[in-house]
Amino acid sequence: MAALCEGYTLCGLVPAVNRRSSEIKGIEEERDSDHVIVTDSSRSVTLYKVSDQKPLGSWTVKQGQVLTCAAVFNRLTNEYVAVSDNKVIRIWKEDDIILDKAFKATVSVTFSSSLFSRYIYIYIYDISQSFSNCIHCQMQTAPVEEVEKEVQELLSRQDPKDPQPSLGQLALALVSRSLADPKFYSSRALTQLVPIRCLSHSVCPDLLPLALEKRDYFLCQLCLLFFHDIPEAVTCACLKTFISLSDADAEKLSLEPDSVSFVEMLISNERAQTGLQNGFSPALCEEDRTDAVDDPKAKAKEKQKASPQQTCPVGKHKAALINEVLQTAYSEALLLPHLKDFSSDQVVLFLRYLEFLYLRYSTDGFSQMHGYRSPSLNQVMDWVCMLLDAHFTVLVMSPVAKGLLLNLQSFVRSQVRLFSELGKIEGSLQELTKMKMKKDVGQYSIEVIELY
Amino acid sequence: MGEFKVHRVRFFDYMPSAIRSMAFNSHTERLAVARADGAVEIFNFADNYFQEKQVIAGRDGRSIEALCWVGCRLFSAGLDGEITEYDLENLRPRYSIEAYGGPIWTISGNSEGTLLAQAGCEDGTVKMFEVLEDRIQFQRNLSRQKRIISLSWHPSGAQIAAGMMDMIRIFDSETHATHRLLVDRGVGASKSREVVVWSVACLNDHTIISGDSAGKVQIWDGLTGTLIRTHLVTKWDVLVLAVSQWQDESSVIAGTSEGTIVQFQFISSTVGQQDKLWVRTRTFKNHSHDVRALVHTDSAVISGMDTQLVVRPLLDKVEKNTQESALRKIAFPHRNLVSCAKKAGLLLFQFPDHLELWRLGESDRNTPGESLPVKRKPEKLIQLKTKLQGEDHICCSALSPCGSWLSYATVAAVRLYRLQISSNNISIQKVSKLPRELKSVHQLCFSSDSCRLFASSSFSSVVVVALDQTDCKYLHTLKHKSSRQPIHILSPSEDGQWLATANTDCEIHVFNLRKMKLHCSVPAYSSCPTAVSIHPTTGNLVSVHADQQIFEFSLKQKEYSEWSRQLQRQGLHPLWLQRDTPVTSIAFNPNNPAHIMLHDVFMFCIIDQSLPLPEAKTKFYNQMILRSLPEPQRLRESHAFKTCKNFQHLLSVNLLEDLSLVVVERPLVDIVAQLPAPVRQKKFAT
Repeated sequence: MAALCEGYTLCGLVPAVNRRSSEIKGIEEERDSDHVIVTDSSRSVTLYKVSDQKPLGSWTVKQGQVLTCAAVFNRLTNEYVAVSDNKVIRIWKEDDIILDKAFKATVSVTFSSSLFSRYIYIYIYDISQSFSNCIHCQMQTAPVEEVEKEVQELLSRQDPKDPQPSLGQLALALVSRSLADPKFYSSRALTQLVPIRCLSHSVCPDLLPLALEKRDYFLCQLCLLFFHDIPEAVTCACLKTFISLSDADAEKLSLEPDSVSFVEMLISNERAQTGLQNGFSPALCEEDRTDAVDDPKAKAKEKQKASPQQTCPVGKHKAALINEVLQTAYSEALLLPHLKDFSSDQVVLFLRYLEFLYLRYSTDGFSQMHGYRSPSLNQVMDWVCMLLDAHFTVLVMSPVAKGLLLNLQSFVRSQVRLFSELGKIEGSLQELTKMKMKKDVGQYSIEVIELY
Repeated sequence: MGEFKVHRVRFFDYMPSAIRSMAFNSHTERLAVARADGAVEIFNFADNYFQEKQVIAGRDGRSIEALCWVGCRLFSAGLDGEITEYDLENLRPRYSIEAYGGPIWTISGNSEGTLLAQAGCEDGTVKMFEVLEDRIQFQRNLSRQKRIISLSWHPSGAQIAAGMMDMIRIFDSETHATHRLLVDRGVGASKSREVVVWSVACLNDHTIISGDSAGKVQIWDGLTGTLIRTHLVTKWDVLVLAVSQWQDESSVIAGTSEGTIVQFQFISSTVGQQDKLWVRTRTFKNHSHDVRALVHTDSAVISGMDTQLVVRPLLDKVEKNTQESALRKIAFPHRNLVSCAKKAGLLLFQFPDHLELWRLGESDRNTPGESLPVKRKPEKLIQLKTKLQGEDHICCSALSPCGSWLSYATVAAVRLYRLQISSNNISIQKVSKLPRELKSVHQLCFSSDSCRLFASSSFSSVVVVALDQTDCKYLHTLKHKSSRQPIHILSPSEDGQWLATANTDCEIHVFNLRKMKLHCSVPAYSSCPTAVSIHPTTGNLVSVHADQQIFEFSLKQKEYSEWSRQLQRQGLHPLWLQRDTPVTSIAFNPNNPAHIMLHDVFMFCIIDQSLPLPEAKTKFYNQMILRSLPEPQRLRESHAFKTCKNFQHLLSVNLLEDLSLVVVERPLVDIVAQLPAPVRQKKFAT
């Protein structure tokens, strides 16, 4: 039961200079019944603790501006919302000191003072277009730190399931400013915008080339991951850059953690790897090579030079970046001409890496063992085929590539043999399905075993 | 050799409790493990990772958040707000003291072993306790903070780093000054969520390493308070960090809620350069669930979750393909949770808070074929609950061979029940008056004629109690005067004359039960016995040890038997020595005195002492080959070790009086199926 107690004065009203009478625009409950926010008719909003009769904070709009509705408190976000001059929405938090520095957005819809917090949010949604226009204007002039802060704020307000298309516009604005002003570049803002699924390469075609130019390889990686419409020319440009990166530089990068973890697992398994499985062993590989190299001396030399590619020829960050390219969508006909532009060193290194992946995948069924996103064996094979297609003559002529190609050939041959053996086994195994399957052990059984 | 009828039992729903916390003592090489149910176990890493002690069984509602060694003393703290020190000789808590700070999240000792720091959660203070000889005493509070989640002492003892919400605070334990390092929150939507610094490590060079709920491992300069490097390692939480315990502190591992472990090493990024950085080097994935507990020794990473203990050697420090480089998973306790009444065909299963008594099924023996039709199904006869919630968990239990007595013990009490079981009537009656000597028991065992109950108790003693229809009477306490460590094996001989005991000091003593005094002690061997049994006819004592060695000792001659000497001369087969689970029981075949039956988690084996021992080059697992050979040739190819791997994940193997075997299996997949789901992992394109 509520009891009516003796009243007391919470605050007195200061008569406004230019007004005939003072009045209160509104009183709203804040975090609990002991806290209220009072909006007076002029320019200020004050937070009071009722039991102490003490003001805890006060915010005022600039001279010349007027608050046109009572400020309300959003308990979900702990933010205050108010409207000034019937058209500017202001959102701030308790620790914002100066109201003008907090979030504000000018809207085309006119507010009337009859507004409630839940409605304010509906309006914001509707007016997102003009609100983002306003943000864009800011984006064109503000320093990098401020832009990053704005983007952060904006993203924290987004519903991740339903991102607003205007964010794409924002990215566009950032990119165009970076292109115009070489001193301006915000990796942080862009890397936050790319994973929001409202961007694509077509929406912002300059973004990925810009990232490449700025050597922002983490952003490149994100673009390759999230954009599904990257033209083959750009994909190849990325690949070329990644392959040419020095490993020392690449290791300093910070990349998407899962992609690095995958390569690490690949490499650490390589260390643990001993005998080979799945129908392939180095011995078999050498045996097979006899018909290719006849001179015994040359053979011995060749043997020494061309050990199968069991160590990763590139550093792990470089590998993670290349893996990202391997997983992109492409059309072969469009890709081939660009692939032909690669230098022979680039081709050899790339092929060695692909061979490494192929061997790793084939020798321990690695691709099935982990939960990370990674290139599939088929993707790897497709790239091997394309690379051989585009550069076959160069590779055959190059002395460096010879051992590599021989290895690849013998490995492919051993695989083909393995698969033909598997074909035979499949025939026998099919017979098994005709046999009566052994009964499931279940919770209890009585069996007879014999020891010899 | 012979045919065996086997009761294959899979209805024991044993469910190990998740590992919550671990502490490794690098001097004694002992690992202490605390489980979610409050149980504390000790593994001896110097002796083949043998689980030498179950210090204390759990208890409902007891949650241990942190363990800590101070010298050879073990302390724990938990959400009940108490600090407990354990009596490692008598396997019970020595004392518990209330820290008056609300739930405790973490506890840490300084390197001199003189001070213990403990962090309260609700009240947010770091409390310092002085470690005295027989207790700990509150010394002072460091200044009050927000909730403290993690703690780490600087090796000099001059500073403590404390991980909390959104920050790390560094206390100078002398000047009481503090400074703080602010930890970034996650980006995007998680920006509004506080970041929890789950783990913090303070290194000798004043580097501070932190792991947090935003998935970061961060390296800080603790003197200047600057952030040196951030490694984003997971999209989930970095739950725990461990620094290599030896000299150089050049390696740190981080465990995540995805089940991965990531290693960082302090190395120069390019060969030949002097300046070193913390570089992320390796990722391991041995767990499907959160890695909440980690230990980093100089050669191995030890992690615990999804109920298993995993020891993963770091390959750069050991030779490839040796036993030392093998990954070890310890999934089952190294002691028996199953007792078998071999005369009555009954099984007793021990759970933390209850016991189940089952009668085995039956079949017509005459039917040929590998699997016999089950005429009568197995039946659960009794489910015995330990009374109330909040009670201590069961630490040991036993069923008499005739099936008419059942006993169990908790840390506080012993219970004895008389059972009467006929085909259509079951009665159970609690024996109300037990001798007062029967207390503080950690191992129970009945004599073969079911007239005696043996209980291992405090100070390495054994209490002997006589049972008859109506009465339970104290007879004697057996004790070897110089033994201190707890007895973990009790093994009476079939004829009632001997009782063999083994303790965690690796001592085996044999007592004469007629004279109630020590008969002899088996010469000490360096590895702990994991199973001991006395042969019913020859009177030889057979012991198997954590290092897989087998000995046979004649109680008459008081010396090793000729067979045992020959085995030592020739050596065990390498494949026998490479097994990584201990033999937990030994039985003998009354029809063939030359047969010794043993089992570990992955096999059971009959050693035929009349056959030649296998040499190193002999094919050890040869049952399939022998099977395909004609009879005369088979005999020529046979060797003494006949191993059967038909049954896996064995909790127990027993030989019944009718010479049929009872194997109790607990497939790991069944345990995994009962675990809660791991954190949701987003698969690409879902």
